[in-house]
Amino acid sequence: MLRNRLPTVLIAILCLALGLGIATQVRRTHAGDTLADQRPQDLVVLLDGMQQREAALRKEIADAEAALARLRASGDSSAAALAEAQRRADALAVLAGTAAAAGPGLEIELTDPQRGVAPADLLDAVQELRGAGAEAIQVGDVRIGVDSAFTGSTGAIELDGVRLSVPLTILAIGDPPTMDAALNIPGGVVDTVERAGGGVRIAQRDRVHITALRTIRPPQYARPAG
Amino acid sequence: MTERRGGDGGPLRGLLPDLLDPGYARAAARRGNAPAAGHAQVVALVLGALLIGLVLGVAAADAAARAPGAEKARRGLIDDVQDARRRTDGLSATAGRLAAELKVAQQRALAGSANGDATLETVRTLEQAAGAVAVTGPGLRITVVDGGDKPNVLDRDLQVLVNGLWASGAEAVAFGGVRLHPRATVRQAGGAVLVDNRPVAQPYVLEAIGDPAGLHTRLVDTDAYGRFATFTQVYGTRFTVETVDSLSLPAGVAAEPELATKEGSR
Amino acid sequence: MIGIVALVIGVLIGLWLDPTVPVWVQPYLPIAVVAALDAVFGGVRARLDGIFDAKVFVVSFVSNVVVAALIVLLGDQLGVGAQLSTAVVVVLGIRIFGNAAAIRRHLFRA
Repeated sequence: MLRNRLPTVLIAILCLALGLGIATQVRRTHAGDTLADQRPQDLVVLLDGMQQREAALRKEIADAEAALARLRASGDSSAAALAEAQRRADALAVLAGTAAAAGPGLEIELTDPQRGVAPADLLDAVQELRGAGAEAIQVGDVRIGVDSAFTGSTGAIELDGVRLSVPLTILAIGDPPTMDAALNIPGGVVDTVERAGGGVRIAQRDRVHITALRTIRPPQYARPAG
Repeated sequence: MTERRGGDGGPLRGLLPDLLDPGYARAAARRGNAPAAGHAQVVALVLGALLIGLVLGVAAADAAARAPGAEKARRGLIDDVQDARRRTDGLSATAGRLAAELKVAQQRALAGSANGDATLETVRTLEQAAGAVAVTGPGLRITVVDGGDKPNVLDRDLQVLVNGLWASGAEAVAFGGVRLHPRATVRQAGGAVLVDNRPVAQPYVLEAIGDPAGLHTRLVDTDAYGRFATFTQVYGTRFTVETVDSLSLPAGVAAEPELATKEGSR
Repeated sequence: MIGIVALVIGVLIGLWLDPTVPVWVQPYLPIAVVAALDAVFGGVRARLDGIFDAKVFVVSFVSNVVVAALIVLLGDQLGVGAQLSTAVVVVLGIRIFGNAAAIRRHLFRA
């Protein structure tokens, strides 16, 4: 009797397998997980990004382990914990823009006599600087934060609602040569500004002082989860 | 048992009447259906099989050797990327675990003392401001699908869109499930987009927490909205904005500054 | 049986020799491979049908390869070489599948 059922069962199993295979492949294709389709240069960029992220994660893990070790070594003493918390608060303040910061970096002087520079160009500059590892950025008198936004129009750019006047000074703290190179890539920020009739002068400095601060708006809609 | 069942070649039966080389049938007919035998047969068989084996072997060896260097390098790169992905996933989990442990240990050590509580409160506020805390709330969800063979929506366009969300008053933004923080970038690598160095595939989903109605109204006025509206007309890009009652955005992971140190009053 | 042994030996020799295939031969390798597979499947089926003949086996393989190569060569001269190569592979492939189906019926019936 089983022999009668066997072909049906086999067919059912094969259909199931086929369905699973189709579903998996469709999902993979849609998820763009088909690495096999990427060109070598794209794979290189992907790999570079992954390696950066890996390095950042390793550092984070090392920092966290060191902090935990310090806390435990001092027997969870308040003094050590307080110092650690203060250190974390300082780092976050630099990131969030609520504290002045100093360090090596770039001093960029941007001129726009023909009013040809667009908000998107400055946005690109900030993104390039971040991509090159900038830790704190100041554009004109405005400190860049996570929610900084460029608005306005070509030749009349506003940052966080503040009208930017040229010549514009941009300060960025980070590794000077890396940031310099990022701005100077062909078709990058320097190229775009120069083509708009403006000029960019970049000076690498041992010490850049970023003094503009950001005020934190208490969130009205975003609540901490969990 | 008739021949009908599961016929040869199925739908192609009409195309080729019998797929076996007719030479066999003719030779069999000539022999009067007696099986072929004799030394000549054996020799021919051995030679033929050897020859065919040679062809297959040579082709296989040639195919293996001919994988050009570039293709091998590409496969190597793919392996590297997958290895890196596995590693970073593992590291990310470890980092999350350690951060939670550290937080617990600090709170235990500091809770109760006035200084400790104040500092913890400061850290909490700053973490929120730096996008380092998972948040939930109402807001907008934007979905972008870039059809076509070559990418029409570039990282520049996505950056402008994110910029538009911030300009419209968003309080927290995530792209492809990756929370944006003060050091996060949106870069492009061929068909994939790297958000904070993490690959994000299509469809591109941006989530922003804020006043849904206000966000939407102000977003429509931005350059970004106009740009993407043009894309939908010119490139057939799909661009949808929907209001969501409850979004959950994960915590952002910003690397702490190494070169920048805090200055000023302390 | 001895045919299979000879086939395996041939494959191993081919892999081991690994001769550098000259560039002009390379477009004809795929069709040679498919013709070879076709001869093997055809031979096995003929064996199961009881009408196997080694001379037919060899002649059919060699003639298939030569005829296919000539077709592709002609196609190359006319600018449709790649398409004709595909056509040859498709047709021989159909034959392979047909013979494989016949072999399958033999095996499951037996």
